[in-house]
Amino acid sequence: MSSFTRRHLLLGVGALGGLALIAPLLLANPYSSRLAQLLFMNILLASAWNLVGGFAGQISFGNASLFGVGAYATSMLWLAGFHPFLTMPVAALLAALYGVAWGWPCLRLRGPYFAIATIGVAEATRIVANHIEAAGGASGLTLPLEQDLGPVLLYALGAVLAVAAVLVSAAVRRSRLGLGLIALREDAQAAAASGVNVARQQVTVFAVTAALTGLAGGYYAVFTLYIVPEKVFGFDLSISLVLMVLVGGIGTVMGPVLGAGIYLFLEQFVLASLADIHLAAFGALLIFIILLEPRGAAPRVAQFVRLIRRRFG
Amino acid sequence: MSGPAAVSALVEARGVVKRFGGLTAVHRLDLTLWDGEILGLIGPNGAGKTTLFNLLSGQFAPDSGEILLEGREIQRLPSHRICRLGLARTFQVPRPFLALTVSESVLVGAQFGGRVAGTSASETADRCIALTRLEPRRSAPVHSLNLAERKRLDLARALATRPRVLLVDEVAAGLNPTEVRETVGILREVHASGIGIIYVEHVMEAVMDISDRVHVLDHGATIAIGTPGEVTRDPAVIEAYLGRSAGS
Repeated sequence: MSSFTRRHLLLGVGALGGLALIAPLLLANPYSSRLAQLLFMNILLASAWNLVGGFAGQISFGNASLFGVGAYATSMLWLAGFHPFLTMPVAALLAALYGVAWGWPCLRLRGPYFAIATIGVAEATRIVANHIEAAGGASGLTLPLEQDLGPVLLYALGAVLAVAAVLVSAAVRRSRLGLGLIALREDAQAAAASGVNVARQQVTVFAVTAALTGLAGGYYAVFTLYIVPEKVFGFDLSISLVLMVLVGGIGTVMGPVLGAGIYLFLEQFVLASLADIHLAAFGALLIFIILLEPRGAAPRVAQFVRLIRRRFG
Repeated sequence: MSGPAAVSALVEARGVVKRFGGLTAVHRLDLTLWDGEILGLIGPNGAGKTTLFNLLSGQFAPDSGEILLEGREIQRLPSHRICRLGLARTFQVPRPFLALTVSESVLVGAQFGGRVAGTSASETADRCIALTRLEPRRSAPVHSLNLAERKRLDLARALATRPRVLLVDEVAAGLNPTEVRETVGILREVHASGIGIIYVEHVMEAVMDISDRVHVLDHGATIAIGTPGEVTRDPAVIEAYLGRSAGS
């Protein structure tokens, strides 16, 4: 159990370098730029969800409530004249505060009870957001189009956020916090009897989940330039995160990254012509995966990488 | 056989009551573990032994009464606080963290329950793995362990929290005679390192062999306290508990 190492930082820098190298490809046209932005956002969201869902085993269907808070924080501050980059830390902070506010009581529940509570919180948040006139009510907020950051800056911001989320995930996995989370996921009573403060561990990691999810919301606002409560607080968004992580590999560091990619690919290419049916198709895929490969794609991919290394390395 | 006045109580339960609905599982129970002793805790099934462990370790709060750990009231504290104050336990049915390896599991105890500065958590974990003879299995995933190994892992994880008091719940049950002897040997070593032990066990040869005193429960109340020799001759004990096997 070594702690977060220099190797991770090197990998992070390497990933950013790689993303910089392929940037010209992805920035070739507005559509591919948007795909890159969505991919970065999904990686950020899925990695954040996996911290509490995968490591602590607490399945949240309510992360949209945190995403929305981040999106609104960034949008309102931007409209008030602050630079979008400066709004990001505020989006993270407010989402973390909101996450702790409802996570603290809800995380006392475990398993399906927690999952149901998160749906309640997120739906209540969505309904309230629809009625706050100061924030645009149900028609949402339109952001200053003329201040668009431009594709290059948005790409860079997304890449940094996504890589940072994966590094945070790797750091948590190898930390004392991560060990405690896995212990309480496996047996909360036995973990408590071994000295693990179950409530505090969960709230701590949920604050990190919420902060990263809020950042994703802020990023979304900055690249779409238009937010409405039905979208940023929407149940679809919460569900999609669960799907991404389950498909990619729950409780692993790279699973959410894989899942984010697979989800985007299906949504954009395979199912684009079928409009909203992609969620149903994704549900079918999920059932398929749970039956055949309950741990998701990540373990298989890791196996494949090891095989390749042995053959060529 | 309660120790001389100079010996202090590590654990003291005073008038502890625990009810589950209409059932009184533990009824106005007094129990003392003196410093430096191994206290056997026996009684027929349903006597309240495991309930008492759950009360002492903070899994349940008693309905009334006090529990003191080294003179400090703990009956309202959550499990993790009681663990950090120096009381650790094993479980009747081992409760391993199945996704972790042996060394990671023990590290959980060392990182979260440890209270001594100076030695690192991994040193503590290594020492406990060695003490419980799990060294050959240290990198093994916990789900691959057999029952005897899982029982020793529970013990190692509890010891890694550096307790002053260890509650051991049926660590010999289901083991073969060789494994029982090995386990009793480990408990002796634990005791020799200065840890007080309350030992619940149905395997009589194990508990009578290593206990300084034996506390006998029936229906949630004390029916006898004494040396192993004394309690086995006690008529109340024979009637409630040993009677059948003695008469056969």
